[in-house]
Amino acid sequence: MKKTTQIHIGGRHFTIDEDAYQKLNHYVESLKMHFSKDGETGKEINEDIEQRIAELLENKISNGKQAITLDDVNETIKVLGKIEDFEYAGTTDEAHADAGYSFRRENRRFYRDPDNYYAGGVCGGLGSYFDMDPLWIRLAFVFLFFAKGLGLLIYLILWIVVPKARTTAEKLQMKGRPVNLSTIKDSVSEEYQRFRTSDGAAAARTGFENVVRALGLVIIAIFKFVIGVIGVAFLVTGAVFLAVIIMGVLGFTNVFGHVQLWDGFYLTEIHTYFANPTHLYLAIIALILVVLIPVIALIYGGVKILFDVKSRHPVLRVFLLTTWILAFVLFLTLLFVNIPNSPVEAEGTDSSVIESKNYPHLVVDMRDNILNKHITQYRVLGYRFRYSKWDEALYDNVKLNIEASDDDQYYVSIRKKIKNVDLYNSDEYMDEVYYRWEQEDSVLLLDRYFYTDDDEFWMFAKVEVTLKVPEGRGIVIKPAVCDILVPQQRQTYCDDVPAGKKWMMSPEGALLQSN
Amino acid sequence: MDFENAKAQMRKGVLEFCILSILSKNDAYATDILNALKKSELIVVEGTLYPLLSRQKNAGLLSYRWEESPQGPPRKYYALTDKGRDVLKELESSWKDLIEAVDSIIHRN
Repeated sequence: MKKTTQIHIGGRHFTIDEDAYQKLNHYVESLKMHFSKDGETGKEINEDIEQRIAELLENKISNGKQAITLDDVNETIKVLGKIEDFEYAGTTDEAHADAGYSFRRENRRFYRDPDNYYAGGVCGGLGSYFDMDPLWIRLAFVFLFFAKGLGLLIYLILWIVVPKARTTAEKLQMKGRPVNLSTIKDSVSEEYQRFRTSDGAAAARTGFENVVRALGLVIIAIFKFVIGVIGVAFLVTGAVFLAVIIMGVLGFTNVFGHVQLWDGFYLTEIHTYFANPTHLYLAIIALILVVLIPVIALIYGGVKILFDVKSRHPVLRVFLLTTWILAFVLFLTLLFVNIPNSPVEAEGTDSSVIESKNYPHLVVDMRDNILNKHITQYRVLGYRFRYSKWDEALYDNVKLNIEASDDDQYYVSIRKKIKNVDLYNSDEYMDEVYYRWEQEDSVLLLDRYFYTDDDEFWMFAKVEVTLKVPEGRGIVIKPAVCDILVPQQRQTYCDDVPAGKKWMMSPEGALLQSN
Repeated sequence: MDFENAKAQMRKGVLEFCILSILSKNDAYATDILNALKKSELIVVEGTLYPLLSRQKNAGLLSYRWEESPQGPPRKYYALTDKGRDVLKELESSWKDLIEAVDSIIHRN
């Protein structure tokens, strides 16, 4: 049993076997393709030939046989002849000789050759384009490869930019051959031959070809190695950056202290450029994004290259790129908005006279004003904060300095220094810094810590206490006070002598030990 | 030198001459012309004829008309035009000249 089909050709109907139909259809199509370049005339020729086909096929039908068989079709094609057998198939031969069949360089196109390749077929395609043996082009590329990898770069660019010759027509254009039926047929049968003999081909290769092929394999291996190295480099660089950033944020290393955004502007001093804490937060978030997105992209890219991940997330990519640009713009904007209004540093001094007439000398003692408070220590951008949850305040050490008084009175001066405040409101901000001390008879009690509200940390307040001692009068420095003395005085009054000694102010303005 | 091409050109000229000659006796449709040409072994594959007919028709040497056939669909009958007749006359005389010339060269020795 055979499958048959109905066809209509040259004004007649036929019942035809499926395989016969395939053959006939292919033949008719090839004629159509051939004559299609002649337009209306070609169409007419086709119709005439189809009519003749119908006539010939009709002779094959007899009473005993209703369907056209493959043999019938083969005989018919033999009678009519294949396109290649049409001796003067063109209708206007002379014109064709000038226009149609003379494909010169301008008809050539540069394609990558999928049948002649070691890596991407770039050299094969170049060889076809310039009518050269691709071997020389390959050697040129190998030579260029050693010129600082220039060859590799050029090759990669060509590989990406130049399309591959996929269809038979493209392959013919690549070789500068006319695209018509007979060349396509030749090309296809060539390919078929190559396919058939590919097993035997390896044996038939000459030694020289083997050497070239081996060289090609080496180049591929080098290429893969380089790609691998790039992938590893991406991955390692990204991972190292990420690790350093995380460790820096967690405070394990002081890496940010060495990062200069530009000359003299250290990353850790970024807060000194912001009067507005909200701006500072935003700038820090933006900066984190600006750094983190490329780091993550590096890691992702490395993984993709190394493990040949084909996944593409165009939406994610656009999102990340947009985020990065926005973050970068935001950071710069914040920086440039804030730098001109450069926050001022303010300081104010508050001096008080200590009543001392009834006492031979003044006893200086300290009280630990966070003694019974639960204190958490923070470190942000290299600054330490002592935070008390109980009163929502930040505490920091004061510094005590002892010097000579200008008159015969004892004085306590409280100097407050704050940063990042705007000029007009600095006094109000100053009042947000609290420091307490008190006098109980002959004892001067100094708080160990000053404090601010927790939302005022960005002022980075400092408090310096100065005790002024008049000439000829004395003080007793209690051991606890040593903790807040400026280092040099601590050395002199605490470390070098037993604590709790009495000191007298000399006319030269220096404290001298007395009994 | 490309002998195949020379031979093909020669045959092509002769074939065109013969088509005109066949049509000068009777109007005919493609199959009649093919039968005549095949009898004298001037044509190898039938497909060759059609482009030539088309070319001569376009050159104004032939015209055609559709005619009912005793069986099957209508047929395209070709006829010589006046121009075709003139060309045929010219070709006939030059053919004779050519034969004499070639003969005289070939048989001179």
